[in-house]
Amino acid sequence: MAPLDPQQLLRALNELLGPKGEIAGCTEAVRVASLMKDANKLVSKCVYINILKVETSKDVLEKLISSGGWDTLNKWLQETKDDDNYPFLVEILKVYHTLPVTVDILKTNNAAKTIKQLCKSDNENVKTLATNIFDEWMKKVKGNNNNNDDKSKKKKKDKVRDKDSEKRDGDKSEKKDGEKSSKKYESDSSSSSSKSDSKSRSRDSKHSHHHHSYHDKDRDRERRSSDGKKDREQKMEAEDMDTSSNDSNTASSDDKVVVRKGDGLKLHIRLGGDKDKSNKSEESVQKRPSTVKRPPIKFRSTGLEEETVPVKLPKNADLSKPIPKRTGSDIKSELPIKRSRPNMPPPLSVPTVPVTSSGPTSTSPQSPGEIHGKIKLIPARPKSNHEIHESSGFMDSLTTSSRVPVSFKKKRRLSGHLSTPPSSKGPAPPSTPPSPISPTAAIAKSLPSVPSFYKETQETEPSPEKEIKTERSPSPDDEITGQDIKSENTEADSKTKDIKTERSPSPTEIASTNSNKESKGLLTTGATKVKRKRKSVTWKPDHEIKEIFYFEMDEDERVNVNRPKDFNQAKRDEMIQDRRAFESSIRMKNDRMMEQLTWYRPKVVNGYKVFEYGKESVEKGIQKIREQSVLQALFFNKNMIPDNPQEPDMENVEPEEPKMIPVDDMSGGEEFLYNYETHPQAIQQKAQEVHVPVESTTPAQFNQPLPPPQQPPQQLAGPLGLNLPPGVQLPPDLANILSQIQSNPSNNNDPVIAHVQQILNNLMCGGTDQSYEQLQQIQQMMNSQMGMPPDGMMQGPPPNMQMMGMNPGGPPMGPRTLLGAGPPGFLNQRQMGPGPGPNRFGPPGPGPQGNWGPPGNMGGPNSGPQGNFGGGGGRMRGLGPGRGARGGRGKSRSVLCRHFANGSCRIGNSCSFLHPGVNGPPLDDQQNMNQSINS
Amino acid sequence: MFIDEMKLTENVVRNFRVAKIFRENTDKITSIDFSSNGETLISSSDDDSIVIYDCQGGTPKRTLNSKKYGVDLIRYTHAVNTALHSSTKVDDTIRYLSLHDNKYIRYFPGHTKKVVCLCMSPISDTFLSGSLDKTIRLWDLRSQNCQGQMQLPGRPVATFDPEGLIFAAGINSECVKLYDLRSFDRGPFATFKLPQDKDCDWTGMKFSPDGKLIVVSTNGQVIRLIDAFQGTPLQTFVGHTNTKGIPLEVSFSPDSQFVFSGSTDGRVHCWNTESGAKVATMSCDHPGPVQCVGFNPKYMMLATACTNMAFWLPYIDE
Repeated sequence: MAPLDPQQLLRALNELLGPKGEIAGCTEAVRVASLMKDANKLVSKCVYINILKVETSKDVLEKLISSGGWDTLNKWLQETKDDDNYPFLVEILKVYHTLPVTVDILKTNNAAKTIKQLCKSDNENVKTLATNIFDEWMKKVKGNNNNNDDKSKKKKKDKVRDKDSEKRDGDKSEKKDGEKSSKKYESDSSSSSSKSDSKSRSRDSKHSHHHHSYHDKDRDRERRSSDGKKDREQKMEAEDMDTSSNDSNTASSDDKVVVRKGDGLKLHIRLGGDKDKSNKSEESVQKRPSTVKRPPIKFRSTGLEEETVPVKLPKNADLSKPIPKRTGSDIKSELPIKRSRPNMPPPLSVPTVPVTSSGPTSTSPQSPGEIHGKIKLIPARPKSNHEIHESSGFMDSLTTSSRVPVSFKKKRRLSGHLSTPPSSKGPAPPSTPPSPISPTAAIAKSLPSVPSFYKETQETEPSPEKEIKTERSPSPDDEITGQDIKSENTEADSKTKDIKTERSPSPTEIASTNSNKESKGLLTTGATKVKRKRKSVTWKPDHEIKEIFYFEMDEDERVNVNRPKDFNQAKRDEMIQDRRAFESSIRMKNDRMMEQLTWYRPKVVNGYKVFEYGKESVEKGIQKIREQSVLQALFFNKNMIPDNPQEPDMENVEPEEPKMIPVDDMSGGEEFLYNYETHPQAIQQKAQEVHVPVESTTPAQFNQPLPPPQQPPQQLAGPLGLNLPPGVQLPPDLANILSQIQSNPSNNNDPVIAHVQQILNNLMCGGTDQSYEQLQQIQQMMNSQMGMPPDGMMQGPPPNMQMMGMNPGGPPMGPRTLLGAGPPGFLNQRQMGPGPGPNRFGPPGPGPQGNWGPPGNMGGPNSGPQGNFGGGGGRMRGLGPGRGARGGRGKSRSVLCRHFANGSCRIGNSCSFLHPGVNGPPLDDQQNMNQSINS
Repeated sequence: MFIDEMKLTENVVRNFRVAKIFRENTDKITSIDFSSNGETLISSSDDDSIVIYDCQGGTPKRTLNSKKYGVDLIRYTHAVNTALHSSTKVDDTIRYLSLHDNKYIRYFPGHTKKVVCLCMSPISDTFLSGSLDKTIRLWDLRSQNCQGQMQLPGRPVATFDPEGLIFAAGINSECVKLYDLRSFDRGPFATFKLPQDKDCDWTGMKFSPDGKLIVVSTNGQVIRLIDAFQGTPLQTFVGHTNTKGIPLEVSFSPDSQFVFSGSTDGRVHCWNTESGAKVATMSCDHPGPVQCVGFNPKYMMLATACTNMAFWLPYIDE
């Protein structure tokens, strides 16, 4: 569209306008309204707004509004608000301010709501204007309510009560309640100021109710803030002052909107200083009608109970019934008491009015008349949060406004600060515990109190009867009169107790609060009240409702979390798990195992040898004893089985370094060594082949049971010079051979000697153990093939002897006797030793002769021990420090080291001689051993 | 008490049949051990449970869990209700458990890697353990301190002889060294050097009940039988399969006549120690590798285990 020329537009409108630019008349107003509908441009809007601003005729404006101007203005308001066009917004608001608003009109759209929202605007002008408008409208709404028939009001109020109770139940409802209570409070004050009016009476009754609720809330606040009492007292004083001032200020006409508006405008102009007062005065006037139905009971009772328990009792008794007389005295006494209470008494006089005015805008822009219904709607709406904030803001503003009007500002502010510790706003009234956080609230405080709307609903709900009561007591005096009236009414209604409680809570009677409360709980008609108290107690101010805790990650905490520290490890574990699951599933799938036999008690295997297992176990006994003193852990089903056995009892054990077990023989002696590599398989097999002929050729000689020794050993020993102990018998063959050997000691290659060895081997092995035979065969073969001197073969006997010794089940017969007679090998060696000497013995180091030779340890050829040693061969393994080899090696150490005997051996443990108890068994042991062997 | 004895012959072996199957475990059974009186069998499994069976009634007797530490090798001790087991989790400590009240009695810390052999002395409180940390340790049940330690160049195997006087250590999969238990600190008194198995490791070693033979099990396809006195290789048993390189257990019959071994194909193989000939291949449809095989030391009963535990009895035709 082409730009509009405002001049053009004005010219076009000229015929509709009067000399000042105002609308000429009612008929023109209709046309203007229709024209306004079509105005889309800002320019044209501005023109119309200016026209409206100039217009002063109420009739014309009403006409304009009724003929569609209201909606148009609302539309513009909405648009400008959305556009944030503050200058134009201010203009529109000014127009709104001048408009003669009625409840019905307010109901028609949401202009009031919008304006209420604007009260929180960032723009100061807009905010103040909106607040003023809102306040005024609230007044009107309340006024309308008052004007309505008592019956209708009662009904509505009842509804509202229900709604209120519901709201209170809800989270958001509390805030609203707070607002309402404050509003009620204010209305009460206003009512007190206008005592003459019947409406005011009704308001007073409402006030009383409001006071109750208000007090409840106050209690909560008090509990929250330690400063509460003092604050409230101050507030009370301030409020009282306000009420008085309001009384003086508030002229009379509740319904004269125009006048209010004018005042409102003036107030706005004045804003810096006295806005509040003027507004409040106006509001108070208006409020009176709105606040009509509040029951004073709760207010007083709650506040009194909480704050001033001790003081209350006397006053309650006094005040409750004799209304007018005591009112005066009560006033004096109560005033301080009231101070302790936050808002109760003072609100009656002044602040209520503004509350009412503000109320309608805030709660129900659409229909001021039907506040209750709207109230219901509001909480249900999603925007309820916003509303809550706003309402709380209104509450603040209400309280502040009530304080502001009189000279007690300082006190109020202090009280505000004290009362609302959570909100930094300072002057927040004690009545609004969840005082909103928004900065607008602070401003609102300075402005005339607004949010009485909810209060009205609540107030109206509590008791229509109370209204009647208030009518009875039109005492123009302060709250006290109102309270008294209320008390009377309540008594009549059976709410008297409430009244009493209300009064009882008066600061003077602190002690009685508890009893009062109880009585209230029992007596109060509205269960909602009790509920309210509880609920209100629990709620925090808005800004405190949100609590945010930041939990920093603590590295130490992670340790406890079942979380893989090592990703790779976790990966591996998971892989393993998967694989296992897979395998197990396969197993399960392939599990076709079937039992093929019915179970029977298994039979003992023939040949099972009874062996006393654990015969040397000490722990066995320890555990047996332990089990006798410890209960058995019984698990009756698999679920009972704990995941882990209990941890062991702690033991304090000195850690010890374990002894090293050498991989190689550390004794320095000869170690039996079977080296497979020296026995190549070919040879082994060959040996086996050879084995057969050998066996076949010599079975009679060697493998068959030896014939009983024919010749007495002496004979053998004699000629042979063998040092055989008496009684030792050698097999005759052996004896013969031995004698041969002895006779031909120098003949190394004498086949006889080889034969002897063979015989010995066979004999010692008993010929029954094939393996031994094989070995011997192999050895023999090897020796013969490798051309080793038969003397070298003499090394064989020791192993063979070992074998014999190691063969526990070996046939004891032949070998025994042989050994008993003294190992022939030994004899041979010993005999041969002196002859060929070391030449015959390949092994370097300690000459075998030395090893074998020591007569002392061996018991000497002549001594019994030698025979014993041999004789024990069969059990060698069990008895000797080692198997045969050990015995052989033992001999190497069997020579006592001379130096060791003298005290110290230079070589120490590596000494090849015996250090008893250090590198070898103590002498005693050896002796014991020998003895045990003998036995 | 009437003792119903039965002679174990090849024919009996061939008539062994599965008489009981237990599916107590959800994962592979890793170790079994008969009590010395042959009346109970204890088993450990990868599912961290310990199951005890009654070998006479053929029933599972008790189950315990050790989820925290896991159970790998398990051995009875001489006290009736106690067992030693190695761990699979947390660390490689050996744990001494009282089955009576399900409480650990003592821990034996020391090994730093998985314990691969555990052997209780037949007569005393001494026990041996070998670990992949290349040590063999000698312990006493009464002390958590290690009594003796041997450093080896490779994976160790160790076992006691049936009389508990000597113990054998297998070194480097080629050497058997025999130690006198009372003077082990002086070194071995005998060393048997054997042909090295290049493609497998020795994983187990057992003396025959008569003490004359040593059987060496491997994680390969061979089982070796050597003379316990001479160190002579006597037999090499083959014919079973071990495709997964797992340490298949080998068990002697109480009369030392036969050797039983599991197989990865789920069958059980039996050889004659005397002749080295295969006596029987017994199949019972084990769904997994039969890692554990044990012949009851007293009774005519064989236990084999994969994930399932099977008790075998000879079929008697009467």
